[in-house]
Amino acid sequence: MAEDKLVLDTVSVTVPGPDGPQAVLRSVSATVGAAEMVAIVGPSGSGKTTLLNVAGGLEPAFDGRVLLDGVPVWSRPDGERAAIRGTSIGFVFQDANLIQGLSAEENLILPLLLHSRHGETPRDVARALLGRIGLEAKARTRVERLSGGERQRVATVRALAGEPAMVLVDEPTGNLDDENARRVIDILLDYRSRHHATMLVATHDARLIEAADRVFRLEDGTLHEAS
Amino acid sequence: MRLRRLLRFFYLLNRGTRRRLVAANVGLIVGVTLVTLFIASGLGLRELVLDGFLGALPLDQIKVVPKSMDIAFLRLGRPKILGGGKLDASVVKTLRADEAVSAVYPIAYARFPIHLHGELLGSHYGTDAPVQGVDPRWVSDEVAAGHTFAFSEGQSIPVLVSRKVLQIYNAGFAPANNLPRLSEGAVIGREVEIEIGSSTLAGRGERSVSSHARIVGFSDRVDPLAVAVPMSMLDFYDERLTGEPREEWDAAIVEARSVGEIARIESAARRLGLEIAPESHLARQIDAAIKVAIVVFSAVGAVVIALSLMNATNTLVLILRERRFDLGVVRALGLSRSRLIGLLCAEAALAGVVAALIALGLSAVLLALGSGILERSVGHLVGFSPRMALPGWLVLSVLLLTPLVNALAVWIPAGRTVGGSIAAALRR
Repeated sequence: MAEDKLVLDTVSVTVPGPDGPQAVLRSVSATVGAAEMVAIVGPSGSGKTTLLNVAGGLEPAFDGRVLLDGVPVWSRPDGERAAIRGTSIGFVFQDANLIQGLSAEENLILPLLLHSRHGETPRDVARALLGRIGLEAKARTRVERLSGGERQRVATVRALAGEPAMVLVDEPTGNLDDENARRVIDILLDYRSRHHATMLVATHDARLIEAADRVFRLEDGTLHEAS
Repeated sequence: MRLRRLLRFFYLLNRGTRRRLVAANVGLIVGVTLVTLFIASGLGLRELVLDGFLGALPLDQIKVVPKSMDIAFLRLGRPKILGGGKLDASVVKTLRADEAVSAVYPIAYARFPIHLHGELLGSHYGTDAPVQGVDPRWVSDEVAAGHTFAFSEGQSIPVLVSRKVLQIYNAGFAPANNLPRLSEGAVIGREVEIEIGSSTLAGRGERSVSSHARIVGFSDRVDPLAVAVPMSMLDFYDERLTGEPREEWDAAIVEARSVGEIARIESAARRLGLEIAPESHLARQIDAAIKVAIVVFSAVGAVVIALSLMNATNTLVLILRERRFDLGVVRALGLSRSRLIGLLCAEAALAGVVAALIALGLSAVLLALGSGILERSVGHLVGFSPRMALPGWLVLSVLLLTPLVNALAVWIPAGRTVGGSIAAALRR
């Protein structure tokens, strides 16, 4: 077994509901090794997104422990947490979550300005990434004018632009047709193979599940490794 | 993050909201314009009234005169025996010894007549004139560059002429006699004949002296009905023509170390048997009235600013709420909360700078228009171009305070907006 990249130790999340507090995650524990790809499956509303948010430090209100490279990073000050999110973790959201009003290129430039790679200008990197996903011609197109598939591809390469060691992926193909879903999956798997990145993927897509090293099933807030 | 990248990030982050941010500051622009207009125009009008119309003393100076008593229609100028005061060397020395007093400048009128005559534009003019002796230090800033105001026997006598004389000449005498108007520059340096100890009324005295007088400047302070000469000239000819040295002065200008000390100096002067010349009070009363008006109108402007700030803050809060998702995205991408709040405050500050610049520009244009109107309507009466301009301190204050207040107004709402969990912000 590879060295542990991510450890979730009895993580619980409770949110206010109409009938009082509602448990979204119930004492979830799991480890993900370095360069390992883990798929999380489960019905809608089972807590997959919450699990990814907790793992990536987007959801600070949880019980239990989350260790990244053996360190409980999400209990650190906000500035340090932000730096870790910017340099070590890439997020691919289900709804792309691009910033409206900016072009595809500008959406890629934004995180690169925060945590740039040495020796390359953010614009050069953004152009190269768009070229890799076949969207160089739409570099200056505002993202609201892109198709759903194009938006998701831009969002995927935005998550990978900083070359993070861990990528958290939330239903990346959920809203896409087969062709666009295949392209997004190709981008992710290509990145994983080239960078040996750790991937935690919440998905229903059979191709991603098949590509995963291990599969966990999340149901009613509890996590079990699938056989 | 390097500054250039931070600026680029800043540019991208607020690209969609810049116009709305500036629009949210329209009320602020109106308020700041009003306040700057009130203050600048008030200061301009104050200068016009005090210096132009009144020719008043500076506010840190008062004029004291020996106390006189009025009995019915009889005015006793030397009421020593009736309890009045005199203004002699010992009184001046006492005044100078007061901690609140920075200088005392005696003033006296000559006990001899003079007659001035000379050529003006091809015609010969002559007039008798009273002579006022003044301390050269009191009027040193009114002597034209390249000239001196010091008496030396056998040389031309330097004289200062009240600016009002030139104003009256230009406003009335010149047009009435079909003569050209004169500028100060055209007159300064000119010499006229002066007959000391002679006048049209008294004739030429036995000891009268002929000399030359040179106009070395125009003054807002000296007596408009007299020509002002150095006190040493007055002392010299007083003794020579009357045979008696001067022992008292007719008035003195007392300069305070600060305007706040004036009331105390007035009390001290009264205790010495002196009284305060009315023009000293008038200037201060007008000054106070204008200041009160500035404060009152500025308070109205401040209320407009306060209301505008509330409105702007509300709009900024709405904009922040609308941007909550985008702000969540950039936090997920690695921007810390404190840096994001800093950027949002900087954005508000920048909108404040734009608002301040627009307000100052509007004020400057309106003040220039006002100055033009003033110059056309009263410029010829006061002899200078009345100007209502933005003082440097006001420009600096507006440029510093408007962005600061705007940034502070957005600080707490920004903290609240980006304070929650990123996951919550990303839920549409």
